[in-house]
Amino acid sequence: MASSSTSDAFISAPPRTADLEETWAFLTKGVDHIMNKLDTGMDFPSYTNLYTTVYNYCTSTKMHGKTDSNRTGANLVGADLYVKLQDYFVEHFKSMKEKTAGLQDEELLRYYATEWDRYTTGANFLNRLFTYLNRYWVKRERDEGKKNVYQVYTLALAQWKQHFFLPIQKEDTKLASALLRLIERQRNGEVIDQGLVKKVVFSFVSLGLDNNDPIKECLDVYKEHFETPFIDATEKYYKKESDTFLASNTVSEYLKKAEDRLREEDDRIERYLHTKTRKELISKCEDVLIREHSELMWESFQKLLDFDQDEDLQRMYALLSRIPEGLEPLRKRFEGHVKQAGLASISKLIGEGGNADTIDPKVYVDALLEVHKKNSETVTRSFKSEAGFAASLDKACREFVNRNTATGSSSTKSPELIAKHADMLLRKNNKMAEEEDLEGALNRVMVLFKYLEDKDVFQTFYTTKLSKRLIHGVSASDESEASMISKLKEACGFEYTNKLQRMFTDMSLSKDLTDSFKERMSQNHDDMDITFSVMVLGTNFWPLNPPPHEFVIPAEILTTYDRFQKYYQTKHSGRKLTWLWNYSKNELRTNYLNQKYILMTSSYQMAVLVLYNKNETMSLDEIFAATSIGKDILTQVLALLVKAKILINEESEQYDLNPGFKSKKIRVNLNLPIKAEVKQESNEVLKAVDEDRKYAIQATIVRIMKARKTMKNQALIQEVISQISHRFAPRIPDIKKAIETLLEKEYIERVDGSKDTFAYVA
Amino acid sequence: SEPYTSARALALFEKYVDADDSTAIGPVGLENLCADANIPMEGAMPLILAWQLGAKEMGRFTKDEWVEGTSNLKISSLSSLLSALSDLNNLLIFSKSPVKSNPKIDPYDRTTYLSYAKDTKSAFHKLYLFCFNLAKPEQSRNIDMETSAALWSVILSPKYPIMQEVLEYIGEKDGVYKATNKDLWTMMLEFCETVDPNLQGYESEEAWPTLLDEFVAWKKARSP
Repeated sequence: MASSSTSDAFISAPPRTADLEETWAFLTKGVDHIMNKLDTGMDFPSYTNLYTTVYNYCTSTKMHGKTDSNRTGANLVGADLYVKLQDYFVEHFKSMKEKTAGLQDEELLRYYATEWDRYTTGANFLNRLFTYLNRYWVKRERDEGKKNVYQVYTLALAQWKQHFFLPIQKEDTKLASALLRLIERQRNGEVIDQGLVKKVVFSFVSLGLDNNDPIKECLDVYKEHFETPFIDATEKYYKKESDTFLASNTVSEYLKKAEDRLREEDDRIERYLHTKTRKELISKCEDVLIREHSELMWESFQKLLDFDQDEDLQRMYALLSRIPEGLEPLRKRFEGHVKQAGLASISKLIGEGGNADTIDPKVYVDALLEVHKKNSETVTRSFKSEAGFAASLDKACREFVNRNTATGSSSTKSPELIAKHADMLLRKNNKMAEEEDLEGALNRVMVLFKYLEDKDVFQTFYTTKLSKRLIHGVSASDESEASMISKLKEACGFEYTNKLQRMFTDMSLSKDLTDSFKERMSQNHDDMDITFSVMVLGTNFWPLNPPPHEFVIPAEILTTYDRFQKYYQTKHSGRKLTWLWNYSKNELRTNYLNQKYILMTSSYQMAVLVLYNKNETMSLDEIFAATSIGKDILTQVLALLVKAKILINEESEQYDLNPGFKSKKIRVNLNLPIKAEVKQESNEVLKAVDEDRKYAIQATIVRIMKARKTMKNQALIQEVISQISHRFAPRIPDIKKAIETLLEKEYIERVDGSKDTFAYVA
Repeated sequence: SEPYTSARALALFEKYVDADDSTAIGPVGLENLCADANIPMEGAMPLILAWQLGAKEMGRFTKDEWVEGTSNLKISSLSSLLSALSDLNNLLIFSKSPVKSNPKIDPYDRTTYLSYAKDTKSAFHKLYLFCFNLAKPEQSRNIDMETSAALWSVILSPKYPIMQEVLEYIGEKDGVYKATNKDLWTMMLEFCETVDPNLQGYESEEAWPTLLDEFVAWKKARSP
């Protein structure tokens, strides 16, 4: 409210008893001033006079005729004033309408916006001036259900809409079209007056009127006169633009364009649109900019992958993730891509006519990991680690890790190679000298392990390799061994690593046992010229087999052997010791040569060599008779000794001690693996796996049937597969065979009259 | 022919009784008996005889089994024995219509026969299952594949043409299938009853023993 120079027109208010004509004559001048010249201000006395005049008129009870007789209490007067005001507004717009007729586009909008400001400011003022009318008469009318009677401000808006806004719009939606043209100019890159757009757009919002609740925001006018045509225009604009753009630009460029456009539209809402428009506008843009071109994007995806176009992949992902059906085709393609990459990488390793049998485990594992790493990074970087893409990666990796050129049709080759690689890592003399590197390498093994289908094959190879590392003392570090076992345990559970842990327990018990035996012997005997250490290994936990033949224990070690047998029996009576000569080793000191050497031998080599304490030449048959070592193995044992020039084999089957043996090293390692053993190993492991699987399947069936009592054939097979596939992928014929075995053993039976249903036999 | 008397039945038993074991007719006695009565050894009739007498062992009838069995059927001559066996052979193995019975002139008591004729399927099942138990050594759960193949060729092949092909398959995979357990025995009949020679009626999803799954795969591979 201003204070300065109001005209003197409002000094003399009409008397309290003034009638409508007199009252309005006074008021209309005030209203006019407020609506048209408010910028010149209005002083307080003038305002008070006007206010009082409204009050006096509304409280006057002398007025007849216009009051309803059925109303009780104070009579409320105001209808006449209200009508006068209504009429005033209609009159008010006349000159404005004439003015707008000659205006177009931005000029029109500017005029409209200025008038809107002036008008709404005045209307607000009037609303306060007519407070009394609003508070009593209007309220009463509305309370009685007359929803088309409004407070003065609202009345002003309703009149604006009816007598100013709609008439302009009627002319080819002149206002809305002007707005849309302005927005299009902005889309085309011109700078426009956003404040102007905002003012006009939000006037549309203000004009929406809910008759039931005039205070509530109502978007009818906004939607009809702006939002709907705006969305239509947007669709047309972007349809045309995207088609034209794609006709002369690459998909990569289009992705950038679409991304920019979507961001712009989002900003547009912030700048001058109602937030309720966001959903529809954005979804329309997504429709036109993304969905319409999704085929093309899907098809271009492979090329982006092939050329590692990370940023484009990110963009394509971000865009297509905005439409529900957008990503699935990408996930499928990505899965195929990764699988292809994995297969190609291994095929390249094997090469044309290459040999899958001689592939180096490390090279194999590195190749698999390389493909995984690269694509895993793509998932993280370009696809924001989205679960669907992660699943596609996993699916593809599971495929090529288990089945590739190196594995052929064998499902056991990959677990074997990966287990062998883990063995190499955990051995002494591995190049990964630093612990951290080793730990990282083991973690990478676990990455592949996760994808293995035949985890039991890995387990069996791993167990075999671990047992070798332990009994030959070539494990790189206990810490790393323990770390690997805990990783496997975490992945597959306690049962999976139970055996492995027991092996470590045996090792540490054996160390104590060796010490306590040594101590006891030094107390009781003083003739121990042999250093003896022993490992006592639980039969069920170690994948070791005793020699398939007899072995004559050489007299040189027989005393120690007997003493240990007795000592062990006193400690653990009733336990049976089986001596694994085929895994034992010895160190022999030479005293038949000028230079003293230490020969590191297997026990078989030792048994052969000690024979030469008493003989200088021996025949194969004599050696065989003296040792009982199977001839197939014996000849290889001898061959190694001959090759090392310890023995001389000049005549067939005749072996002489070489009196001229010489070596640069004092410690001579003769204990090299025998070929037959190496070859046999893999086959034995696989045989063991097969046996284990048979029992695993049977046990699973029994467990399931015990719980379910009866089950259909197919359901049972599915259940077995789902329960067992974390260890290996069972073949259906194997499951059926297990079912047959259990039928035969009468753990289960066919239900009478239903050959497809089995029942548990308690 | 002469009417039934227990004495005549007993006399027959004595005629074929084992030279070393007076309590039973052995394989030699059975062979002679069949030869004298014109009962072919290679068909199903010896098995039907064992079934009818409730024999516990293959190729051997104890005196008790003989006496009780012949008395039930009222058989005391070789000719009435032959008609009883060939009646059942025709009815169950060759699926012929039942013979007309007239108790006054029937060569033996056809009461049991007529009860079989009412439900030949169930009678055949009984005979079939009997054969498994007859051939199975007491301590074993299985019969060896050679024996079961021989039995199938006699009992199932005449009735079910597909059986001949299954036997051909088993023969080709010599040594792969070592024994027949009760489930396979039962399912073999089920298979013959439900699957026709063109493999109509076979569903790989059903719980057929692996031998039969593998047979089907073999047959499909053979005749594309």
